[in-house]
Amino acid sequence: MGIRSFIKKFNILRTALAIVLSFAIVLLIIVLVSKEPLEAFKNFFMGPISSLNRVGSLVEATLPLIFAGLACVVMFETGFFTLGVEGCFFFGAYWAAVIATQECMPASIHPILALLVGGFAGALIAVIPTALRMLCNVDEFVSSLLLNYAVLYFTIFLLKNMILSETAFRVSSVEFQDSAMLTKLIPDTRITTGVFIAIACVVFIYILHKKSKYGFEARTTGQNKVFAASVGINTSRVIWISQLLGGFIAGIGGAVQMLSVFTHFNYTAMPGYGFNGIIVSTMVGANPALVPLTAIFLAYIQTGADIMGRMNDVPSEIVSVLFSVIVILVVAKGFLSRYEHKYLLKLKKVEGGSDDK
Amino acid sequence: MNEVMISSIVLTSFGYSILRLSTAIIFAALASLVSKKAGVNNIALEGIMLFSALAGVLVSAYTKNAWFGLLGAIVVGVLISLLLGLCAIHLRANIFLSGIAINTIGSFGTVFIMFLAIGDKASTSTLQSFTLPRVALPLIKDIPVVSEILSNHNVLTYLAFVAAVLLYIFLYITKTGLHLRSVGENPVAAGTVGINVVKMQYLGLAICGILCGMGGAFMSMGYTSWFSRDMIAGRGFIAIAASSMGQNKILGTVLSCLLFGIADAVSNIMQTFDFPSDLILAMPYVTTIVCITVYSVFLKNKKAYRVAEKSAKRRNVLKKPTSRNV
Repeated sequence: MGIRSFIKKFNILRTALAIVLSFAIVLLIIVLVSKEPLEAFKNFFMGPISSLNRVGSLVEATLPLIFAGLACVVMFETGFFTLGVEGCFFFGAYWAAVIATQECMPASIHPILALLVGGFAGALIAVIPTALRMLCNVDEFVSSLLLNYAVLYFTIFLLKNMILSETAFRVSSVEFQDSAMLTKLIPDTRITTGVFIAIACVVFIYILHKKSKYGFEARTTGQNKVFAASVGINTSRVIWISQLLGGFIAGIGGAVQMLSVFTHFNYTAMPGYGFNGIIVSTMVGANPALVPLTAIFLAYIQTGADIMGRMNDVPSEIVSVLFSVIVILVVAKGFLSRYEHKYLLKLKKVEGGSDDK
Repeated sequence: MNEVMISSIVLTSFGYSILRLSTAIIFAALASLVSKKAGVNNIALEGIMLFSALAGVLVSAYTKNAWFGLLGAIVVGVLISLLLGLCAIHLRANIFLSGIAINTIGSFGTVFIMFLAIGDKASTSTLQSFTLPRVALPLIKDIPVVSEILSNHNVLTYLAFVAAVLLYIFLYITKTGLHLRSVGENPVAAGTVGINVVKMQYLGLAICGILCGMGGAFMSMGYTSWFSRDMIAGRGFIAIAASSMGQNKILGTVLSCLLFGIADAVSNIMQTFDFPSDLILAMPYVTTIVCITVYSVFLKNKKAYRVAEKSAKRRNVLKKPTSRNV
C-alpha cells in the first residue's frame, strides 16, 4: 500500500469513526434523558423509512441540504470563507415567493421565472461580502455573518410591505399561484421536480470543478492565492465567479424549497441551512459528487430526530449536538493522528528498505 | 420649560441605555480581544454566552441566590471555552469550524437543556430566577444629571469596565500577560524562549470564558430576568467586529462597543417615532458592517501609505532591498 492511498483510506476510516463516535454520544444522551430509550432509538433509526409520507419528508429535508452544501463547496473552493449561504438561501426563497404570488401570463414559464429570480436574489446577497472584501479588504467571515441578520430583518420588512396576507394568523405571505408550483413526482408527497434540479446542479458543478479550466483555477487559488496570482491566474475574477455562482445555487435552493414544500412564505427566522451546508461541505472535502450522499445521510438523521421528538420524550434539538461533534471530529487533524503517524513511519521504513535493494 | 425637562429626561435615559446596551458587548469584545491576543481566534462567543446565560438562570433558580448564578455562568463559560481549546489546540480542528460548531450546540443545546429542566422550549419565564442587584455609586449618585446616566446600573455593567482595566493590567503589566501576548504574536518564537505555548493559549481561552460567562449572565440576570431561545442575538459576532475595529486595543475596543451601544439606543428611540420595527432590528448589524468597512478602508490606506513611504525611502538611499522590507 502506497502512502497516498493509505492517507486516503485513513481519512475515510477517520470520518467513519467520527460518525460512529458522535452517534455513541447521542445514544448515551438519549439513554440518560429518555424514559423509553428503546422506543426512541427505533423511531430515530427506522422512523424516516417507515412510511411513504416519511420518505417524502426525508427527500424534502435532503434537497435544501444538497443546494446549501453545493453552494458552500463552490464558495469555499477558492479559499473564501464566508457564511453568506444562509442569507442567500433566505433571500432567494423570498424573491421566488414574490414571483410565485403574482399572476404570470404563460403559466408554463412561471416556475422557471421564480427559480431564476430566486437564484439572482441569492447571487445579489453574495455580492456584498465579496465586494467588501475585494474593494475595502473587510474580513468576509464577520461581514457575511452580520449580513445574514440584516438580510433576515430586511426581508421580513419587505414581506410586511409587499405580499403580506391580511387573513393569516401569523406573519406570512399570500398564497402562491398554482401555476408557480413545481410538478409533483409522487402524489400525496412533497417530492417534486426539484429533485432533478438538484441533480442537474450537482452534475454541473462536478463537471465545472473537475473538468474545466475554471475548476483548476479555483482550486489553485484556494490552495495558494499568491502562487495562483504569480502563475497568471486572475484570482479576483475566480473568487467573484465562485461567490456569485455559490450565491446563485443557494438562491435556487431557497426557491426550490418554496415551490415544492410551502404554499406561502412564512419564515420569520433563519432556517439554518447555511450551517448545515458547511457541515456537508466539510464532510465531502471539496468533492461535489459526494454532496447528495452526505445530504441524504444528514437529512436521515434530521428526520429521524424530528420523528423522535414528536413521538418520544427526547427533544429533536439533540441533532445539533450530533452534527457539531461530527464536524469537529472530521476536521480535527489531531484526531487519531498518533496512529496515522506511527503507521506512516512504518510504511516509510518498508519503502526505504525496498529502495536499498 | 416643560420641553426642556422632557428633552433632558430623554437625554439622560438615552445615556443610561447606552451603558446598559453595551455591557454584554463589552464583555464579549474583551473576551474576543484576549483570545486573539493569545493567538486563538475564538468565534464561539455567541454559543458560550448562551450556555452561560442559561446556567445563570438555572443555578440562581435552584440555589435561590443570584451570586451563585453568576458563579455558575462563569464556570460554564470557562468549561465551554476550554472545550473549544480542546478541539482547536489538542485535536487541531479548524478554529473557525469548531467555533461554528460550538455556536450551533449553544443555539440548540440550550433549548434542549431548557426543555429537560423546565419542559419549555421558548423561555424560562415560568421559572423563579434571580437578577443581580443594581448599584448606586457612592459619590456620583448625588450629582443631578450625571447620576441618572452613570448610577443605578446593574453591578455587571460596572464590572465590565473594571474588567477592562484589570485586563489591561494583566496583558500589559504582568509577566504572564507578556508571555500570553508573545504566544499570540509568534508561537514558535515564544516556544523557543521557553514559554509554554499550549498553557498560555488555554489561559487566554479561560479568561475569555470568564468574560463571556459574565456577559451571558448579564443578558439573563440583568438585562432581562429570564433565558429565552437565542437571546444573545448576534451580540457575540458584533463583539468580534468591535474588537477588530478597536485594533485589538482595550480602549479602542471599549469605545467601539459604546458606539454599538449608541446605535442600539438610537434604534430604540426611533421605535417611538413609528419607524418600521424590522428595519430597526436590522440597524445594529448594518451599522457594524458599515463601521468595519470604514475601519478596513482606513487601515488599507494607512498600509498603502506606509508601503509607499518605505519604497520611496529605499529609492532615495539606493540600497539593495532586503527581503525583510518587501
